[in-house]
Amino acid sequence: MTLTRTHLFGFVGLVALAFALYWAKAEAQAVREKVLVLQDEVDTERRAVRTLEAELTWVERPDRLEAAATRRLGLVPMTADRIATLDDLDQIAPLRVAPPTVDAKPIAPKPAEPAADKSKAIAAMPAPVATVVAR
Amino acid sequence: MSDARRPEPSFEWPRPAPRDQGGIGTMRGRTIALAVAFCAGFGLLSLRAVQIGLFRPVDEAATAARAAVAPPSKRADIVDRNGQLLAISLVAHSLYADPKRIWDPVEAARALRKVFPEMDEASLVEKLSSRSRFVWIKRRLTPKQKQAVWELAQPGLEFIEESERIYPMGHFAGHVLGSMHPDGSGINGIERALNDRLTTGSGAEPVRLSLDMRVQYILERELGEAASAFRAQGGAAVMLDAKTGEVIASASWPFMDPNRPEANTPNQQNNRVTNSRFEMGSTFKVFTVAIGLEDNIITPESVFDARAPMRIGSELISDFHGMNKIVSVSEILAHSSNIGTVRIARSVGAPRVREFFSRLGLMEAAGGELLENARPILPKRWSEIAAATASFGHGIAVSPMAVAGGYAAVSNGGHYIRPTFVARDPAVQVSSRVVLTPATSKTVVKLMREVVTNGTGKNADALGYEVAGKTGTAEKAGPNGYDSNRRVSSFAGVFPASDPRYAIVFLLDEPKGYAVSGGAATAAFAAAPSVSRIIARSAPLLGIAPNRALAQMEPPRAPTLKSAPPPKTNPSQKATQGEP
Repeated sequence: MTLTRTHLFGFVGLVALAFALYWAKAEAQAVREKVLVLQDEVDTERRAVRTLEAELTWVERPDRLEAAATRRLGLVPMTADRIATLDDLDQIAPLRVAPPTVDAKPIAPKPAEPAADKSKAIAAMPAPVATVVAR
Repeated sequence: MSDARRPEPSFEWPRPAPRDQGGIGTMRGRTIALAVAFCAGFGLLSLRAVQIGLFRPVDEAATAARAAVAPPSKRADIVDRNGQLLAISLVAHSLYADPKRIWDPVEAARALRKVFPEMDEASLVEKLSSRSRFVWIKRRLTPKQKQAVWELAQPGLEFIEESERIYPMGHFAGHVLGSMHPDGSGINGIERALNDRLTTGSGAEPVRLSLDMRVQYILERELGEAASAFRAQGGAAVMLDAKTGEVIASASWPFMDPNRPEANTPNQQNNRVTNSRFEMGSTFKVFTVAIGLEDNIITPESVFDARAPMRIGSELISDFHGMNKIVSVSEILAHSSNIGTVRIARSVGAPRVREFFSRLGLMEAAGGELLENARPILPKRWSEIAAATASFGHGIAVSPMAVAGGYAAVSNGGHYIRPTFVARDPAVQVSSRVVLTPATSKTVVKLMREVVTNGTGKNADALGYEVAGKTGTAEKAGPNGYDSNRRVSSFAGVFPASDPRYAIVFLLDEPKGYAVSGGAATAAFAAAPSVSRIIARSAPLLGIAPNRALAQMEPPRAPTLKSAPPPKTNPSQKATQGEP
């Protein structure tokens, strides 16, 4: 049997193809492994997220929040008389119409006045529920 | 121009030298045999290499390794109606030992005791020298403990991943949630009742309960404070959505922390909302009046003679708040007249009382999905006397949940809806049974509102939210008949009265009067003030707009005068300041 150049090229081509296939498969394997590693990481992160969620819920327990809000921020629960609709607004805090003068002087302090009034009112407001909260 | 038929140049294969021809014994023969053997060997190897390299699936090895470390089966989370997390399964590491691989049980036990000082050395040694291949050392280690055991570097100590159930809200809604056995099944509460639903399926979809944890917190806080201030034996409080039957909040005192099921006593584990039965007393009068109104036997203006105690058979029925006069139906409720109520019950008749109570769900276990669900204690025979005492809540013992369901039914337009702990899909029609006409229901709510505005329930009113309801103070039955020192004080009601949306029941078992309550432990002092505070705080969270008529009573231009509801009618508000 004589081996022609065609045989030679054919053989070399075959080897090249086989190698290419092997290389592709090896590459696929490597990528696959990388995916698995990433999936593992995702799983680990998910677990961590769930743990953190549980911890967050624990530190956000309403009793703890209430105690903190009362002690550090001076907040008290809202009472019904502090809820109003837009229609009530006019009655609760009527707009002060500036007297029809050309002089700008009295207008300037007037808008500031109700604000000062209010802040004083809030400061003077008793906090009846706060006493219940304190333990 | 080459000749197409010209043969290609061929290779010259090396040819053996002529003198080296011969058989297997010759040098040449051996060489050939060796060459053949090598070729065959390498040929096989390369074939195998080709097979592995080209024809084997890519991820066989990796997936096999992965399957070995698959995470433990996952139990679904539990969340409240707003998605707030209530129960979650986390992965924890548990420690076990393979005694065969332990070198020195005594040394291993000593090492372990460095990490777990609470363990007993003798029993550890016994465990570690046993014949089995698997003994638990400790379940569910903290990450720190795990690291410490790891650093002991003892052979034969192994970790296994296990699922751990965490209840991040602590004791809040503990009785509803229930707790878990270490082996992964629910012991009580929703964990037990919905065990199948929590474990089957994809496991990814959380179970959404009907509870609203914001309201649950307020309810538990008030219940806990009232129960300790009045030194009660127990307490129960429940709030229902009257239109859907969903349980918005449900608390039983003493509370139970589901994270430590082994630390809870049976008394703590008892869910008094669904699993305890009480003779509720006067809160039942609302039901009796509802029957009378529904059957057109009475109107709110009808009058009854309550001047003298009444004798039925051998029983003498008298009034706690004796009025000794002719009273109208609204006064019967407002001042809680037993005599008047019995007269109404007698005019509607025992069979009708029984039938109506049964339609209201008072004669069946009403605990929703929970399996801690006590059946009521009913009169053996519905005689006239049994119906008469049942009409004011004696001789019949039901769970607080059943009363809440009954109040929801008589106030929501007359539809009884079975209470549920699982959030409803708003698109699905709620199944209900009709117990009253809407007109009767309206009248009943109006009468209940009068109890709060003019009667025994004054302390339950909450500024702006129109509480309607009824107090109930029942003496507990002892070995020698009813004992006036042991009471069950409760308040059952609905709000807002203009369109009742929520039903609430608040109950203290054996409250004891103390200085700040003026020594009183009746419902008006032990239960009603807590209801007032619960409603005042939870109504804004539930999206109920306060009644504006009240705001108009306030001086509009003097915000300094506007403050929270006057505490003068709330003795136990002071109580909570006085008691730690």
